[in-house]
Amino acid sequence: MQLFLDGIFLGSIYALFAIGFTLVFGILDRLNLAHAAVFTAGALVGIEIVTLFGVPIWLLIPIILVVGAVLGILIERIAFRPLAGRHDAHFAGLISSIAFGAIILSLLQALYGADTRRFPADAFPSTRVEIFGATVSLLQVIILIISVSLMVVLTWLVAKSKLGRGMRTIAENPHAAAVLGLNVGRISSTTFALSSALGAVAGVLFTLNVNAASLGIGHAVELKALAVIVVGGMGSLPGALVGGLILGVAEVLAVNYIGSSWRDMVAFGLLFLILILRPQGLFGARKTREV
Amino acid sequence: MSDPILSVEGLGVNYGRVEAVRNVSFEVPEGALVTLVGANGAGKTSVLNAVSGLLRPRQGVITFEGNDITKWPAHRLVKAGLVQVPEGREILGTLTVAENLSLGGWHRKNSTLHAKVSEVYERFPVLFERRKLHAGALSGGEQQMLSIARALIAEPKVLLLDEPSMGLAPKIVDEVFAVIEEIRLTGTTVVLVEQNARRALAAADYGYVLETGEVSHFGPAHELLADEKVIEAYLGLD
Amino acid sequence: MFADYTSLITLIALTAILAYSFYAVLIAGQLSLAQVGLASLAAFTSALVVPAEPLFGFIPPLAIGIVFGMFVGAIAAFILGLPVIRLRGVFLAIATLAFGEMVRIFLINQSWTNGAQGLSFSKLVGPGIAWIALAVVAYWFWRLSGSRLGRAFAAIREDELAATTMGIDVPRYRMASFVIAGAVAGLYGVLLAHFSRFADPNEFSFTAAVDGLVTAVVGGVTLFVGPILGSAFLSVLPEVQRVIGIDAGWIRPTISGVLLLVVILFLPGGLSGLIPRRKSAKRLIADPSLRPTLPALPAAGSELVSLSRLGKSYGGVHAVQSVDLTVNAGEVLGLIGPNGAGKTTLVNMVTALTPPTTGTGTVLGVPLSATTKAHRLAQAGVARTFQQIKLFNRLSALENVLVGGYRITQDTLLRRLLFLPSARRSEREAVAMASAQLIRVGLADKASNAAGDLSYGDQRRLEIARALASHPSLLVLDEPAAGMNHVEAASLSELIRSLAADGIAVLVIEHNVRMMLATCDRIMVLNFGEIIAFGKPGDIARDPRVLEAYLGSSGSDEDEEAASVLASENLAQVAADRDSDQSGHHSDPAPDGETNPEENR
Repeated sequence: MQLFLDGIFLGSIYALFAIGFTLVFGILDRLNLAHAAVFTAGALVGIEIVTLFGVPIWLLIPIILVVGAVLGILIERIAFRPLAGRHDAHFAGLISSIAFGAIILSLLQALYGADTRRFPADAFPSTRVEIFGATVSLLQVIILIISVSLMVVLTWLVAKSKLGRGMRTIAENPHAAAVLGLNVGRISSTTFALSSALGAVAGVLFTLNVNAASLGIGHAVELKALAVIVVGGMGSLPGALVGGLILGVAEVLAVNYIGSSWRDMVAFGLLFLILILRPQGLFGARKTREV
Repeated sequence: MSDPILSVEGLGVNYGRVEAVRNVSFEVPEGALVTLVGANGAGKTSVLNAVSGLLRPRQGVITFEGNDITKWPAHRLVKAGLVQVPEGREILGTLTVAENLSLGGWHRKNSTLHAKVSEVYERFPVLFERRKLHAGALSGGEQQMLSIARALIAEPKVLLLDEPSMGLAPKIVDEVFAVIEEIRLTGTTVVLVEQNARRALAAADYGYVLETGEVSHFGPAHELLADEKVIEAYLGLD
Repeated sequence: MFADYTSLITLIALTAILAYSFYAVLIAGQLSLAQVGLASLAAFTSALVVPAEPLFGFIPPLAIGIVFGMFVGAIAAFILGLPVIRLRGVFLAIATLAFGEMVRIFLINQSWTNGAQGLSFSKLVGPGIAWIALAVVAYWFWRLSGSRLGRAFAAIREDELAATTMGIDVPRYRMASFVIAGAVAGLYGVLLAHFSRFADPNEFSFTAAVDGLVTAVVGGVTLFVGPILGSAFLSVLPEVQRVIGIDAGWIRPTISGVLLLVVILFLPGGLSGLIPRRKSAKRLIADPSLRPTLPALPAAGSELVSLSRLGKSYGGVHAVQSVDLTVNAGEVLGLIGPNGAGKTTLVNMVTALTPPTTGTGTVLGVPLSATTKAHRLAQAGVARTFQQIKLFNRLSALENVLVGGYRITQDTLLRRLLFLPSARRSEREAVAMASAQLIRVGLADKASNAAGDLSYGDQRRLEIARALASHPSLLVLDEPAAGMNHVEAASLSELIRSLAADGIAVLVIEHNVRMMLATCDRIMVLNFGEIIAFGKPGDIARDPRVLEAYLGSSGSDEDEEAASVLASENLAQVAADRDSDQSGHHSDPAPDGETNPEENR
């Protein structure tokens, strides 16, 4: 039970990160590889804010959402929008987002140095509670609540709101969306903003969970998030949630039963198998736009 | 004589380095039906897309209600009343008919949207019957009607129609042209792009013939229709 | 001074070799991130076979390592390719990335690699060997770029579907590029390990893969020197920063990030895109004596296409219903009908791009079935053009036509590597044949223009020239006159007649009914997937069902009525002229100046 719960906590963070990743892919058909840098930025900026001002967690999360959203808008404007209409936009977008991610990371290094950083020791409550015979910290429960509720809000937004309707219209047919008078540029920006806001909060939550953050944490999570969104189905929001939880639990179990050195094999093995056997993923919502 | 509601002056459009449209000018008087006819690849759709802000022209000036709209983005033009019914209909197949219609009212307030949708249902009863179906399940003719109806939700001052008869049976084409006639009777200005030159000229007030990106003939539609040269050149085209 | 930079100079060469392994797949339009994984497999397995002393006293240990490493890289790439080669774009990138990571984790957990502690290698590689290896690799890609194989890769990158219809077996060639890339990656792995004397599997990570990819992209994939430029630029940059003293921890990555962004946003062809392409490389060869003799076409009148109740439905919608048809050598068969009538679906079935759902058919002896591959049909002698023009846009007009000649030319890569005179002769023959087609369609003066920069009408003509370059028995033209004016359409009509006179069977879809009546021997009229009329042009022009489908049924409007009558009289007249013109050639020379060609009737 303990293992299972640990897996859920970890998986919910993977899912929160991956859901932003898959949102951009599903709606704009672009893979944003700067997402990892946003994750790292969320973590390091979060630590800085708590260290300097000692803000409580309920205030920290909204601040980080805003930080992430701003980064997302910059990514869209600088790394993606200039490529619109280019025949190699798919491919060039991968490279330009890698470049933009590298710039974000180097600026973080300039601000906070290359060392591992932590939250101040007494910044958050360290209460531990027992559930179903397993010990969990209050912080872990808060992490789970925050990540799940953010994902629920996002899914609701996409499914029900006017903005979500616009996003789904663009996902299905960007040309028709423009003809109908949707401001495709602004909705794309908003999509990136939402995606990156969640990515940045995932960074904070991940850091709360392990209480350590360095420049490299984004990369590892990015690779796993790729596994999550492929397993769940590229572009599928529920797929990212379920995929994240599956991966979290599978990893914790793998560490326990096979050994930590093989842990990452789970993610990539799963990813590889799914791509070969069922490229549309478990929640196959894959569009056939690319031929 | 009053100023035209829409005018295009010296329009040039490029795809990469290919000149798709060269020095095209035309005027659309308020309330008129103006048609651009020509073969596949003559540049008709490029002209229309430049007017509706989907393509950035290389040169030329487009004026709508006295404003220079050459650089306006598409969404601003829709809001201003310049609405396109695109080639190939571009309905959203996985959404329902009702959802497609409400997307047509993207810039409208919810309160007025509802009334407008009911009005459109009255004109297109078949869409009301099918309002809960996925738009992709409609027949070609019904999809074309949906595409036109969806544009009407935005209450266009100028309606731009791109090849509305494409791929439709002659009987359905008749219906589409009947709808177009109805729309202009309500006072809406219509710009019609058609490969079916004869049909389009028969319905229009003014016609412009496009050939490899340039206007080769223009004038009142009935004169073009009676012009030996135009007949010679274009009656072979469906 | 030089000694200070030995290591940098060696690393430039090694990084360039890694970039070539990305380049090898990118030139075929694929993105693989498995390259460093393949390199590490090769590096660590080479440790098992590289002897301490020369083998038999004269084979150097490094040579054994290199051969073995390239072999391991190629085999591993082949095995990886078997399941993943059918993936495209982002999906292929992710699958290969996962493979690379799996290799890393696997190697870390093996005892023979010494796990994360890493393994020591003997220092066998210095700048000399590294640059010799790079020179060999660059030479290979230089010779590849002008060969038939290289052109096939470029064609696949530009448009897979069009490449298939030239007779190129796309999956096989994609696999070939994968295997070449694997061998180069293996070479890189072995050289790197024996240069740095130490390797641990974690060095061959995702980050390293991204660096290799970035090097290839910054260098550009349009010219074979791209990887060298990319490597030199990215390796020298930090050195320059160090020398001028702006290399504080974060400044270096910031500057490289910004530069990379600038290159990708503003230099779509990478650094090598800045090098002007030599226009003289491929000149038109107009001398007819240089053209080889081609095998004869099927005898006029022999049956090339035979369809029996062929049909296609999508879901419940019948795009084409039960078509019976034969096409004979030397005839022009027209296919007309309103948009959406199923004409393109029918010719897609005839060219095996769309499998039929009902009925049977044989095209040039190849039966049409769900498993018939389009490239097989193309090899048998079918060539086509597309309604939506599918040219290889970034290749020159001449290069497009050279790809079109794929079917009737031989591969020249191996002979080119050895600079054999016969390779040169083969290339000249190919260029001579391609030139003949360009001249025939009137594009001789635009041979070196990029296809994407041509006007719409010229693009149509180029597509026809490309199709003709394969020396086809059956030519399928989908709306060839779209975007052409009347003078152009008239000369196209003459071209089609002259092709038929040569013995080619031409199946043509066109909306320009007047032109069709004047060009075709027989015309089939489709509407809603069904044949509504089939026969000689004169009969078609008078057929009331055709007039109704084309000209509309409503007759209430007087103008319309009059126009309709006028039209049918006109068309019937044109058709009658055509029917009586047995030679198939128009005797009137094309009028010049402002005269409308139709007035010469």
